Amino acid sequence: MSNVVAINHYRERNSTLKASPTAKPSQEQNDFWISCLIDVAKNGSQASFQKLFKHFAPKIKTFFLKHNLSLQEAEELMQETFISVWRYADYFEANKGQVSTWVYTIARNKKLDFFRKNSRQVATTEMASEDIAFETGDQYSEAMGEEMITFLPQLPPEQLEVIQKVYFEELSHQKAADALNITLGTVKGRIRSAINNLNKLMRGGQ
Amino acid sequence: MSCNHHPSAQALIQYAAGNVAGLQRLMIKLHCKVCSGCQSAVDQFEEIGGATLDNLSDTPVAADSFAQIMSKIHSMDEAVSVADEQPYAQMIEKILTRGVSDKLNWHWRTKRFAEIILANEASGEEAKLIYFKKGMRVPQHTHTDKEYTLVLKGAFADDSGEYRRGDYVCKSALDEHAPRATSDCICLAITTSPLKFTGTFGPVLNWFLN
Repeated sequence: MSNVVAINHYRERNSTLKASPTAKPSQEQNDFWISCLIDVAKNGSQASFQKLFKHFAPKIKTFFLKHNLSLQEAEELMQETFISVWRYADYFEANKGQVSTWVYTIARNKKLDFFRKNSRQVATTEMASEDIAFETGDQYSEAMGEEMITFLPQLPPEQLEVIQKVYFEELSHQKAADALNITLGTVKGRIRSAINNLNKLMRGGQ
Repeated sequence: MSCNHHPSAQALIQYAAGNVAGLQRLMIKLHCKVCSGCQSAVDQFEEIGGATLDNLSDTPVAADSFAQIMSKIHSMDEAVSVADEQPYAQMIEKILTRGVSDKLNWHWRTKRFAEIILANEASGEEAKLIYFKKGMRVPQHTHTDKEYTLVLKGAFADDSGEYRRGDYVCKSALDEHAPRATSDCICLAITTSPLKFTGTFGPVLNWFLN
């Protein structure tokens, strides 16, 4: 009986994830990108590289524009990102997951490098200056097991959505509220719940 | 090895989202190097970044963008140019991962306490490597804002516990503490504003040290 409950719970979780805007690209899609990357790494295939380029380059350019870079800077950093994709293709660990995540981390690091070289401040999310008091502060003290816990799917989708808007899209709380069509108070409440939940989930709590 | 003191979920999300820079970023990165649990958390938060990227709209790239990339790739040396990381990063990482701390230019402040001031970040945060010999006590103090510490080697303790290699500690204005080294200890410490000593000799120390 408990198995049935577990399966239903799993299905429920899966369906809510699919519905959320943070939904990952499909398995087949990701497998296709992985095969392209492997082809680049092993055979130096320009054709596969171009497929990755066609899909990701325009999005990466948007990513840099959203971080307040000029069109020209965004183009340059996008190109640098792809040079790294070519160079480090064999460092991608296919078992580790999404190609989009890997490409994202390269682009993010390019942004950070660029900001450092040009002595620009990274935009601190509104969180840092907000007066929301978190019970756990900036540090969490507890022994943590060595085993990896996949905890993110356990976070309620509406909380995940707010985390995405505020931290990854760097929207102000008000803009996140407008984008999600909820009140400012709800945004703040959801962030607080999300952070508290994550602090527990990360350490294997429920 | 497992650590007992970790960055909070909020700090790890900020890290994954690229909203933490400089030495504070290095601090979290190094913690994750020795803490598989936090590394796994960062991996998962980065997936949110990947999904966000995948859902972005398209901005047209320059007409000859792909050709430019290919020509840059072909004109570059096979030898990958050394990434010009921030200064000190490698030195600090060596202390953590290999315990190598000789040949450093320590400034001895007392017989048992030395420091190396690292370049101040533009944000006004102050970063130091600090070395305290076993038994050394830092006078009781609070912080006007926040103090982040990463233990690179050895251990220290205060009223709230012991901190060992890899542990990430954040003390805020509310925490008054008097840490003491339980073995020869090297830490990376970042304060967002100067320490404030609160003990009997506090005013004098504040005057001397700040």
